Amino acid sequence: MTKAELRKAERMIARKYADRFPWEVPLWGLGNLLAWLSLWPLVFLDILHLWIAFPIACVNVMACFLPAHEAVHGIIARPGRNWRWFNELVGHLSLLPMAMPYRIHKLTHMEHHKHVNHPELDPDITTQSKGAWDAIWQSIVQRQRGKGGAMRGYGYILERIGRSDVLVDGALYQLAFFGILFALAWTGYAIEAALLWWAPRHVGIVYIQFFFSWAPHHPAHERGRYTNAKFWKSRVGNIASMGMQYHLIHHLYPFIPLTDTPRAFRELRPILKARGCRFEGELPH
Amino acid sequence: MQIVEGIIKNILHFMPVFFGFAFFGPLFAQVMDRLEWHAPLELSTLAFGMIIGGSWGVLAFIRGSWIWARPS
Repeated sequence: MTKAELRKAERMIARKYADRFPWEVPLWGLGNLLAWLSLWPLVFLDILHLWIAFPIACVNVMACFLPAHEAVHGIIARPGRNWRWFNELVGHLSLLPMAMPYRIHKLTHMEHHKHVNHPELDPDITTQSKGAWDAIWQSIVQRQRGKGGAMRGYGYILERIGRSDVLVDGALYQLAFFGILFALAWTGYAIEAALLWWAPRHVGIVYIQFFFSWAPHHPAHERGRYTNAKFWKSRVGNIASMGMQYHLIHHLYPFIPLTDTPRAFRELRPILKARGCRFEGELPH
Repeated sequence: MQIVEGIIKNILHFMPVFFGFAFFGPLFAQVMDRLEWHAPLELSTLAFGMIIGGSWGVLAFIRGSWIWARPS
């Protein structure tokens, strides 16, 4: 096939996945939020043991990111559509366990799509590392404020694109997050606050940065449309690795819902091979 | 509005110090109470927790990191 024929065939397949209402996204995002919120009264009323609630809270933080990420790409409803408000609501609410402002995530993530693997312009390039263990370590190190203070990372990107106005979201989220932790600590619930929110948030961020950002892009040198991410076989399976085995499908066609990317990949595989995409390990046919 | 912005920026700037005293302090104290550990020098667990947590917070603020490594 010629390049033009490949492009046409590729787009025809991708478009098949464009118009489905992704009911699982709001169900997942809002259900996960409710599950995390319910841990608090369950623990405070001694119905659930804190050491059982802690791993559940970690899973809640790990799981809160993807529904918001779907909302960033307007998967529930694109701008101007009837259900757009619901798309944005799911985006804002899903991210609460992570104490991450949706608008900051949205703007910086769009910059990631524009400049994947660019050493200065990609906001997620900070996850670039030598290997898996280094990626985990870098996730912890890069979270420290360092010499650049609060303007490192996402703050710097928002200033560069002229949207430092949304930094106010970050400030308010931080004030609320720390304020709630302090209030809980001084009313005798410091351990509960640490194990239901503070520690799960750190565990969750490591997990999200590892699977969502590091693994599908590693070594994060290639910048071409078909090579800036890869198809890879995860040792822990597709679900436990956030569906990121097929992350390049998302970069090629961000309108395809996450849960449809494996099917889209299977249909697109011959074209993607012809395009010179990177494959690591054997993915299911 | 500028005054509010200034206050918020300063609170966030000094957050590691606040976090050390206001969160790690009581956290360490409550962990010690639960494990029935006693603080040295006849200090209360809260006072001991505040000293450890607060010192860590001050160090984190000065160094720009809660751990030994810092982002380059």
